[in-house]
Amino acid sequence: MFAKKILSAGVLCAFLFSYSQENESKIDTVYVFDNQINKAKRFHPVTTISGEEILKNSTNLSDVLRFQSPVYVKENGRGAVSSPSFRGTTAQQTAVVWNGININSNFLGQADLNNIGFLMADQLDIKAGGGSVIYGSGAIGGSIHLNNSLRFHQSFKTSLFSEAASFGTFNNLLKTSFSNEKLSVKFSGNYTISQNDYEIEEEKYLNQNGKYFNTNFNISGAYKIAPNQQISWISEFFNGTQHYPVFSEFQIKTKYETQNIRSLVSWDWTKTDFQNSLKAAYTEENFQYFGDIRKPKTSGGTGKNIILKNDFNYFFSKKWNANIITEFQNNKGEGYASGIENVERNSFSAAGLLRYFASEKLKFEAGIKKDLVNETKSPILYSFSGKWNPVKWYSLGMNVSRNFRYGSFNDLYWEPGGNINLKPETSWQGDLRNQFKINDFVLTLTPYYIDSEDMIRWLPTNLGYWAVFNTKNVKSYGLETQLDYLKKFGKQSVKAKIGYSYSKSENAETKKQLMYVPLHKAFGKVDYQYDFFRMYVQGIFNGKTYTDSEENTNKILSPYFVFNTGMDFTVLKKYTLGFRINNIFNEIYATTEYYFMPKRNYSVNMNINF
Amino acid sequence: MKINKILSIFFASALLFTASCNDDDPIIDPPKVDYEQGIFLANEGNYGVPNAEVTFVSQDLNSIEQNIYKSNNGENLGDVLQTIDYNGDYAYLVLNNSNKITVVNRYTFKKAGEISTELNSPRYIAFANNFVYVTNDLYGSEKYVSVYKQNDLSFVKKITVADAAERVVTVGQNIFVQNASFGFGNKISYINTSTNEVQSEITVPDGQIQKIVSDGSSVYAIASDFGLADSYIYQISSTGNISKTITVTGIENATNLCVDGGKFYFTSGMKIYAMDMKTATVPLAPIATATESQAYSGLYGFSVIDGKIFTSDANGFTADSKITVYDTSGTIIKTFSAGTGTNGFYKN
Repeated sequence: MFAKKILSAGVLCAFLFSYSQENESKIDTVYVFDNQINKAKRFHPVTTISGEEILKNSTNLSDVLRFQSPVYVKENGRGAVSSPSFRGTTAQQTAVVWNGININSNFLGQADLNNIGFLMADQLDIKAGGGSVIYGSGAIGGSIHLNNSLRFHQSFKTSLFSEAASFGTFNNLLKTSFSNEKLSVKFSGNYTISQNDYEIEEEKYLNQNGKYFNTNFNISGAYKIAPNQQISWISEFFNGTQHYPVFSEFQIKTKYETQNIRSLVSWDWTKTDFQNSLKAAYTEENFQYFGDIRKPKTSGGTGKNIILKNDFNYFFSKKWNANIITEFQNNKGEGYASGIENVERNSFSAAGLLRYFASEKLKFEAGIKKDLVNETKSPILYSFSGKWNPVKWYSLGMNVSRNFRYGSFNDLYWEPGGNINLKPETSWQGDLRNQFKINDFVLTLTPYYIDSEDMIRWLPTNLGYWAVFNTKNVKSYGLETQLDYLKKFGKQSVKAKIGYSYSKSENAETKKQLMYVPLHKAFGKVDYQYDFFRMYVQGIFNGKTYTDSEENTNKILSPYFVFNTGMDFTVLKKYTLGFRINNIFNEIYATTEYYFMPKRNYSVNMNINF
Repeated sequence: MKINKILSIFFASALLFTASCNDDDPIIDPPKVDYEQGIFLANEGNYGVPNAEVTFVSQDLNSIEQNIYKSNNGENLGDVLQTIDYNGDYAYLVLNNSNKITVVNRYTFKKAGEISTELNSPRYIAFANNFVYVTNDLYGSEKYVSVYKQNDLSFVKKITVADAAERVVTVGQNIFVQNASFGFGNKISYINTSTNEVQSEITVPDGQIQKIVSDGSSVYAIASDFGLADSYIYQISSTGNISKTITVTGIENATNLCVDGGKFYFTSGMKIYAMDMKTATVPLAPIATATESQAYSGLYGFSVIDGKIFTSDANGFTADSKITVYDTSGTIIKTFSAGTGTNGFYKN
């Protein structure tokens, strides 16, 4: 119903726009819905994963992040509940951002990576470090951005990706688009299903009740209404079912269903000395938990958000630039047979950023933000960044920021255990990025430090329920390094990347490393291309990870290495055939204690471009 | 050439990491202890993962063996060990979220059997008249007692009870079910084991039932409630009549009732009290006050066995539980670690 309404509204809009005056537009061929992400890249370390790269780990977003970024992903077995974390922080301190909008659940304060239509994204951007000034509550350790873009002057394009993989996994993705100089429209759809019944004989582990399936649609369009003005719109629908794995054949089997809607309309006005982007968005999350799959749902919830955002960017001169972002949000939550009844929250925020481009080689950015959230006292947030390229082969970037996370609906209103007087978590952090460019190599070294206060935590109580507290302080510090290599010669090209991160994250009271924060994580890849033939190897190393808060050496995830490889070749320009082997060396590993991940498994895929 | 170099750098650095991370403790075979003379500790584990385990401690508290289920059976025990009870040569381990009851030989801890039929989130277990009685209480589902034959563990019938199906105890040949959980409920069902039907329901007049225990020919129920300044201990006869009410004047929120050596033991907050069963004189002061590693972790498990008070601090359920043993005068005689979420102590 809702989809139909949006569709008809879209068609109507497109029809109306076609009557507006015709004018020669500038050649500005790519439109990105999140207008801040490219600005962020000027000052912050951002890893970009293209649509093509995403397909190398088409199983789920967990795999993409695990193998292609420094993010630590804790997954309850392949395809089940999965949470990301950065720089030694937690999933709730990691913002998942869809086209500029924070989509962490209103209820849980975090996102499940395996319930996100990541194949709809044209590109993923992984931004390390605090970003609350721009991306709001929860952007403490870092943020994961699912970005969509629209192109002009491309006429018709269609691609179909179809994959069959081990454990009864099938994945189909269709993308089709049309654009001319003024109009651009795009449709994407995806269906994934997996029986997911893998076995690890050595550990007597069978992934029972692990089935999952989901359907996604994404529709977007943009129209240039005037020489410097554009109206753009995007809507995404996700419908997923995850069965939760059980360890005993007698255990009562459970499942979780979720349906999400995300819609965004943007009016962008771009001149040489200013840009204004006015956005209105509606997002909705619905979930149902089935405590027994044979019976009706036992609990659930619906969250609805309306967001109005204006982003005004003005150039006083070539050197000075001011950016003012104002945002209003209305969040509603409704629980079903859970601790939440009907709750509502309004918030308003204003952020100002001042950028100074002293020279080609030196630039600065300072930001300030204040949130007004009813019932919650939130701190003033700051950010300061600088970048300096003294010589061709070296650049230095620095960031200091204050970030926060306010309590989710569950934290504030859950009965019993929630606390309306909960303080927001706050943190200070800094990083220093050193980048060296030597021949075909780029080496980046980024030490960081995060000091978090009043972390929001749920603790069990002897009254039989859990309750929320502002508890410990956590200090995290570490080093992110990355080495990139790119070489092209004739029809051949080689691309390689190795990333290594060291993350020390200590409970300030006990001086113990936080659970599920590996001290060492490394990821890497080598891509080789010869004209129509491509081959790649990707791998990760995850060091010893405590699953206990007191560094008990008996309660750890043992270190593991996992390697994947794949190859594909294009025939007749339109058809690409691919073959992939995941976990080539049959490593037995788990990212959450007891939930083992699959051993060697295979995938064949085909990509047709029309 | 270059690719080779890069790959070798990658592998070399990878090797370095493994080398630096390999500082695990060497595995030492635990000395074999005789499970006949000692106490089993039920470590319930974390909900949703199969890390429930059993710790054994010898009677003199000097010998401690962790993870005795896995070490004797080579497999994980299961998910949420709610309770342990004995019948003949066997110990019955009730695994709430695994939805099964694992039966082991109580002297060797080797698995001897299993109950898996007609269970729905099992809680507690009792034995009477050649039957096994198991309470089942899944949130939002029916509450019942499932009955099995002791000789072959075959299913006999379901007995539906009101409100909640929590603790179950045997007095004589009769079964009593606590229809109260998480501090809510004031009823007890009395089941006649010759008919396996609910014979009567006992409603306590004041307070919410926190725990029932059996001793000799009586059931004792401790009741308290938020906002009530006093707590209550009710003595119930083997035929389901309240024969005595003890008002524990001035002590609020009393729970964790145990009976040992002619005394009641119970707790209120972190305070541990003892009270003579005959005189029932309300204690003026606690015999000990437990400390807790963090809010709401203290006294997660509480039992009194042969003049020793066993307490556990669940340590936030994110690390090993801390066990503290007191003597009856409140002096700490032993502290040690057990598994995750130790919720009970059972004399073998």
